Amino acid sequence: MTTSRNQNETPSVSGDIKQKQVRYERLVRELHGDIYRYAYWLVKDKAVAEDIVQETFLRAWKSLDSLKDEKAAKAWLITILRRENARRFERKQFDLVDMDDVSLADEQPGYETQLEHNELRGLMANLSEEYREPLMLQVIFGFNGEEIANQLQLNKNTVMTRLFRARNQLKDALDKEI
Amino acid sequence: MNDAEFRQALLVEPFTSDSTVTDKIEGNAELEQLQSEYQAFDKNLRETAQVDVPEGLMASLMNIPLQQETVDESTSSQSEKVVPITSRKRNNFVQLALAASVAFALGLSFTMLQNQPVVETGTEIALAHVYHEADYAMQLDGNVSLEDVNAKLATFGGELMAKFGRVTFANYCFFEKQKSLHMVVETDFGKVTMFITPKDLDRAIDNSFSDDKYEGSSWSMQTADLTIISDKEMKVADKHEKLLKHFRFSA
Repeated sequence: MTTSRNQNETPSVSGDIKQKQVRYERLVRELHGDIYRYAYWLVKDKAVAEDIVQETFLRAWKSLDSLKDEKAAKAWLITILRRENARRFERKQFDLVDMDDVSLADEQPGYETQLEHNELRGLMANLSEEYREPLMLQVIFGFNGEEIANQLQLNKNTVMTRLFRARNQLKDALDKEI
Repeated sequence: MNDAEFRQALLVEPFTSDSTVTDKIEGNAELEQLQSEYQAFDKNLRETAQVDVPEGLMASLMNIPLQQETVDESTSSQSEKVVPITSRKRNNFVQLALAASVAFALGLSFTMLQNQPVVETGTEIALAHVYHEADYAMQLDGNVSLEDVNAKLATFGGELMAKFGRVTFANYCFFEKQKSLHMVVETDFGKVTMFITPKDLDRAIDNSFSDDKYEGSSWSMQTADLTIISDKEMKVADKHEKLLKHFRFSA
């Protein structure tokens, strides 16, 4: 057969698939950017982050029927992504790239701002993972303390303390360098 | 809330609306200054986290369902050959149903083999897609955004310059094994089908062609080929070329 779809699909089946595809495409459109950024900050490597995002969305497509509430999509995808990341670590420990070696294309207007961003970027990458992860959930996805606690299965007070320490550490380091 | 707790809460959420924090700040110039400093820092953090998303990532994620469909089809056709009836507990009805489905699959493959032409030209494949999708893609009344269309076109080095009609369907398909893009566009002169195919297409598409129901035209662009097909009754083959100007293909 030359065409890509099965000739024997009944209209209702192709309707279901179409509906599933529409839901999936909406997820990709709305969330792929932030999901990629989160993956990037988790692994600090563009290519690895891209791979994890591919795996995440592949799993999302396969188990899309289990996502009942669209509002939970963000948390659902993050959970898949974290699992994929952990799985990769089980398979092999990859070399992490030093942030200074990565050319980051994120050009922001204003030389001063850009310098500050570059500085901060390096500092953020050097935060320990237990601080970096809740911070990224906060600044990329706009999660509040409670949502982060649910996502990471931590106590809310622990999350608030980690967020404070993460921000405090970054701020101190920035202030010192200025 | 003591002073340390207050500073901690403010640094973590400098835009907070929590009244225990905001009440303390109100009217206190020093604390207002501290809040705006923390707010600027928060903004800086959020901006820094916004690293660029790789070009083409969205398009390749959008393609996952189609890839899976291909994988599923190949694995399901393999598994049809081996129908394990391992459990003796299966009742006769299940066995009968399995036997019937195997017979059906065999019969179907036989019919498909009988009907399958030995070699199809690119033109025949394009027309086959149009016939095959007549009840599906042509009937869909979607509204694919320019951004989505361009994410898919980018795979072929193409770009739709501005929306010239309503793109009601845009999905990847396969010409034999070569990934192509199948679009349906509602233009000023009616719904037309478009195919964007790779330049190295194994089976060439004729520059101009028709059969009993459809007529089509095909152009070789810089990075891909573009084919437009419309219903003969619309009598718009001479207008196909007008649509080219909306596209740009570059390496």
